[in-house]
Amino acid sequence: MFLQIHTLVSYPASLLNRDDAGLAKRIPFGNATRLRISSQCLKRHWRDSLQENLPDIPDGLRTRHFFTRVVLPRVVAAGIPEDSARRLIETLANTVITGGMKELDMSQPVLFGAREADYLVRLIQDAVAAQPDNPLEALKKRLSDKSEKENLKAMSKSATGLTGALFGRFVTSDLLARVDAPVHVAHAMTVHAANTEMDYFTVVDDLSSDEETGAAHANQAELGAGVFYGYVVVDLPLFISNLTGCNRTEWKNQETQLPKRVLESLIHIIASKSPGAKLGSTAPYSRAETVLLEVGREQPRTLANAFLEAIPMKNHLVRQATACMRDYLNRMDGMYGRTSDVRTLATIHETVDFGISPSSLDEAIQSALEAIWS
Amino acid sequence: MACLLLRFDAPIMSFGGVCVDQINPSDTFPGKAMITGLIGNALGWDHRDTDRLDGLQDRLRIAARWDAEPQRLIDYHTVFLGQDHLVGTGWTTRGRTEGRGSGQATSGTHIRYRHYLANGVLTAAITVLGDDIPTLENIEQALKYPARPLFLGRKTCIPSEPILVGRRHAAHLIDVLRAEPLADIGPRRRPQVVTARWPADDGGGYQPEAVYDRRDWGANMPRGVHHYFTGPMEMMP
Repeated sequence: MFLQIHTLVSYPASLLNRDDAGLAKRIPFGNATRLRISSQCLKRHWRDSLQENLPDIPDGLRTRHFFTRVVLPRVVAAGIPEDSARRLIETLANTVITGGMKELDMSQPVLFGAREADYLVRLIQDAVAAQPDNPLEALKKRLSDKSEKENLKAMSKSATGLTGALFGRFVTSDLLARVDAPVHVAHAMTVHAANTEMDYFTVVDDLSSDEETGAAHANQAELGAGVFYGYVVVDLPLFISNLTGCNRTEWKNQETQLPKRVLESLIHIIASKSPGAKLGSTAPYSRAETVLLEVGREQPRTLANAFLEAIPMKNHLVRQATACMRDYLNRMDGMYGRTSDVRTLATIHETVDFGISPSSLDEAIQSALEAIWS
Repeated sequence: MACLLLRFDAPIMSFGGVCVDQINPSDTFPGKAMITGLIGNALGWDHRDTDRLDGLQDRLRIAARWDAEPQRLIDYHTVFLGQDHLVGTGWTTRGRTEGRGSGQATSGTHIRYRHYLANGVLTAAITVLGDDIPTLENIEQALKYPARPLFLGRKTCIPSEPILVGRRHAAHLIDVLRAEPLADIGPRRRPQVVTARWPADDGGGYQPEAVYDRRDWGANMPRGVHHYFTGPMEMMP
């Protein structure tokens, strides 16, 4: 099950994302070169905003029931009696959770995903295998080992976490500890040809006397305005698995409150957060004028090809781009059959008829979330 | 021989070439490791399914041609290694942490140059040898309803169309590409001569080329070679 997010947003003269020469990033696309915003740049800004928008979900927390509902059943399934399993998990949890814990269902949510669960279950299985008559001793011995101590400390700190659960984690060569990103972000690009200007500027030296000429500093920056098409797809089973530690096939059976809040926040941020630099000199703050959400099972695909022919620079570009997107979607549906199950739309260009009634962004998000968990 | 015809139509794609230092180049055609990863992803496998990935890679055969000629795009990318979520977080399942070591490249701002192929359209014919699982039918089904979003080399390279075009039959993969009409590429650049790369055992080329397109999935690094012909391809009338 996938959630696809398409946006059209217009930025005034700005320099949103630069290359190593300080020029605006570009991409050749269709019949013209376009302005581009890289996915790294977009994700960086979204990640920061997420943490601001969801302050009660400190980065790295999800469920209070990680040890009782994820780890315990797996240890019991591995043939270890429940009494013994509980004692072993208690010892392990007290080592892993900074400051220890009173009971297994914690008052505070913790921070681990599926990869951490795999490893903790294995530590317990290893202890049972090493000393079947006294696994607790074997486990304590393992936990007091210096490298293991440091390792578990690093695990606590790396914690899949909120942004890790969304954007992935790849900090070591260890495949077994790797968390794949369920949020795939395309580079955003303009729906028209790149149109920029070198903005020459000087810094006047206020203390120069009349006979002294020249500025304190002279430089130039490349400024460009543009209507950007942005595309993001969320792999929902993996997202929930990262967030709760469950197997990806079990994603529908997890509690929905937290994932819904995170997705809601993510879509809001995608629609409104500027990836901009040069904030003081260009104020690059804009909101998406069109947001199309799609929920479905078929292979996610970008609608970028709606803009292969660069839109000519006249009339209202965002309205034209919205219409282009609608026409392209209709043609793709005509060729392949309907390519997503549910679509919701928020746009200020209501004259463009998608065959879906446009609503507020909040309503569009809520309907899409309902479709995901229906 | 039955095979699957695939179409790669995306604003950018990347076919992991030999990476040196901070430069991540792209090969000019998709290799075995890339297609193996693509299929594994569609089937819902993950990085830990190393035996299955190795097995599939061994059986896989690929030929590909460019219907729209791509342009190389080099993306400049920086990472500040001092960010809190990147420091002291290197735990492993081996019971010990893995650090960055010492030296200039282990702190501060890390620069990368990621190469992409932009504005191209590629057509590929793939098949798997033998009757093991996944069979060609399994792969076909998975590409139609993938377990995860499909991407062309990097997660940011999301295709514009369904990748799977359909099933084809021919004596050799290259014959499938010779017979298949060129894709509608819109205003993109049609090459004067269509260039293709195909397995050397299919014959028909001049000088076989060693391409390091395989991965040792368990060791998590590139290793292994396959021989291909690369060159102009004559379309069947």
